[in-house]
Amino acid sequence: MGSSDPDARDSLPRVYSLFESPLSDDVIEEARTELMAQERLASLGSLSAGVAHELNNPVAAIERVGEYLADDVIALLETAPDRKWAALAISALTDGLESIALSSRQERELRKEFTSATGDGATAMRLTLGGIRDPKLARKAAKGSEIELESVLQTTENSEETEEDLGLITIRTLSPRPGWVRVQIADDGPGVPRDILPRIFEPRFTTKSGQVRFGMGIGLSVSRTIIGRHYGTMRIDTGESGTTVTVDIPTKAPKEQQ
Amino acid sequence: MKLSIVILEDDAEVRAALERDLMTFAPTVRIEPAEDVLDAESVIEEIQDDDDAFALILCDHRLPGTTGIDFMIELAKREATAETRKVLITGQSDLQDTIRAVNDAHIDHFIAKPWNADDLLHVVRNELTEYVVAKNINPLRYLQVLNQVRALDAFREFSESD
Repeated sequence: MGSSDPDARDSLPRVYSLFESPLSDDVIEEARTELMAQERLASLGSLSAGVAHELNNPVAAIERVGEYLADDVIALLETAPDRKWAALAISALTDGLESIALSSRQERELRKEFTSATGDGATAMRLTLGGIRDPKLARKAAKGSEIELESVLQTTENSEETEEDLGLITIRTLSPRPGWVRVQIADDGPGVPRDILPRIFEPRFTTKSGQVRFGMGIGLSVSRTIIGRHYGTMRIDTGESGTTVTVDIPTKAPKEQQ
Repeated sequence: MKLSIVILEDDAEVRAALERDLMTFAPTVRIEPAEDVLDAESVIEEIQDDDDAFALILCDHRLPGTTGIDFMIELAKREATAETRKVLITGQSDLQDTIRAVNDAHIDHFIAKPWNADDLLHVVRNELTEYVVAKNINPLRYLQVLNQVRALDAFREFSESD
């Protein structure tokens, strides 16, 4: 015993030293936080699966009933005392039912009209299949992407015109070096507070004000995962004059390392 | 000139489902629906009038007044449509039908209902490729909807022998 004690005393501190580095508490705390975050996500996942199951059953029933409902309702309406109203309701119902069931001739006619309205046959086909029947609507739908961009521009314009400061978001795209694409999104807000900065990428699920709700953080965490899968990086620079998120993504995936 | 696909199916829902599945090909290929043989004939005529190529027909077997196989036998007989690739989409067909489909209608592929969208796209891609190769059509414009390796190999041989 006496001869082995000194050996043990010599070896023990070396083993413990692994855990006694100045960072050890932080490292453990970080790992614990990460684990808890993952657990919360896992419980959210099983909760969602439960909800999905509860929804699927009634949806299946609705689907079955729905198939017969239209027939039954029309039969019922035909016996209604208010003939004028019943006729109106029936025609609305049958219009709805037949909105998909165009004859192939009608469909081709409509597509020709849409093609001339939108200038694109593929879009015309998509709109027809999507149940659009009005060429005016088709023209608008085809321009949907432009409208969306317009509304973004409008928001930034509004922020300059109105007294209420809505803030300015700048989106820049550039190529920092060959083979890489950079997207920068910057705002002119107050910046991210120092104390929450280290945690903004953490997936979180908070129960603030007694309500279960998603806190900020899930979006950034998901973004980081997606960007990581594309071998890119995401950086956040923040200060009192605003926050800039910089995403760098290579245009080609690096070769597989085998 | 545009490669064209005719979908001959009398059930509007099924026809729309087929069109929806082929939607990804729409920017490159002309896709025309038809609900009966008469309608299909006028569509085919329209395609030929526009100098487009009637490359493929996806045909339901049970049609009003006739069968898909009878119509495809008819198409196989005509010079203008003999080369058109013929795919039968069927929920049921007996042995007699199948024998006629192979022997007389020169059907290139059978698809069973219900179909899988990926399988359908795969079949359509291969059949369009076979058509382009058989007709010596320059595949470059249509590569997005073709089996690219097969199309380019054939094209290389073709331009080398040229």
